[in-house]
Amino acid sequence: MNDIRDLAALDRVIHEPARLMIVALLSGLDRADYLFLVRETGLTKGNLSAHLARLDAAGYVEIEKTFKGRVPLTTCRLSEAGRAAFRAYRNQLHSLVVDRPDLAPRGRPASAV
Amino acid sequence: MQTASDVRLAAGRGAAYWYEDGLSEMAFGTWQLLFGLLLVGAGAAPRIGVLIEYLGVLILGPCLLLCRFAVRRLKERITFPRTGYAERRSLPTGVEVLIGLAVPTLVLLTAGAIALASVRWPSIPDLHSPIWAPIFLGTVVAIGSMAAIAVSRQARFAIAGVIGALGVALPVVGITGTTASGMICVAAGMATVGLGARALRGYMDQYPDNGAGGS
Repeated sequence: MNDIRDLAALDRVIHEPARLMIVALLSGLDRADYLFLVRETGLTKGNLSAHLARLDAAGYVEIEKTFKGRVPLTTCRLSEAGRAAFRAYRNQLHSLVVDRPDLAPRGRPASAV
Repeated sequence: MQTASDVRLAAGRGAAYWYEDGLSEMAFGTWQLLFGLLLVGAGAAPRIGVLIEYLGVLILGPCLLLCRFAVRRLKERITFPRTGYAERRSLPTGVEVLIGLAVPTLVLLTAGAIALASVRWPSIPDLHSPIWAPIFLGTVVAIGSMAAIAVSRQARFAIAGVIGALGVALPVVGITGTTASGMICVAAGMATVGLGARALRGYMDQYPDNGAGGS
């Protein structure tokens, strides 16, 4: 990313903060359930469902609804497309932060941006 | 959240979550403790020490896999209903199979080599308990603890690391060989179990079971 206009090329599905939290969390996991995601992200269940639906529509997550005994269990996992998209997003973000330290706010190291 | 470091932290959160409840530590610490006792026992009985060691390794090796299974079952009862289910990313099946085959093969080959050497070379019990055994094991424990801190982000693993590092110095006070290695494992295992139990208690106090379970 050498041009500031390349910022516009960031994947907007992932770039939204709540979805970025979800994707970042799922990237380090095989799968997780709603309870874990709600606790970790601080989102409400409704909000989480909406963001997961958006990620699902983009093909970035796979949602599986099962039962454990009589208790419903909904688990999510990042699809291969989701992992690839997150990798690409991280690379874009990294090149923005590392290659363009002039964009970092004053008084803060570029790596913290 | 939209910072490079935050994204990196969130991506490593899953692995850290696995160690939050202390169950993995308790299981691995128990295994380490048993392994240490085995080594101490082997050191106390030099004539059959080699036999005890290698039979013990053959029995305790697979128990490490059982630990993983036991931790998972405990998590299903204790952790997942409280703070949610999150499965760590596992290694590709091929890699797991390779590790599963390589470890017992290595142990059997070593045991075979020792047994063979014992027949031809009666002084082998002295050779298999060299001065570098506690240095090696202490270093392994210390490095393992550092790796555990990096993955779990739990500073409490440092205690086992310090024990490992101190164990390296055991030959200085004249304790060497299998006994010293066993003492390092016993001390590190006790510390790991104790800290794991403390972490579990703290976790259960922090997240009392609300009986909901589903999501």
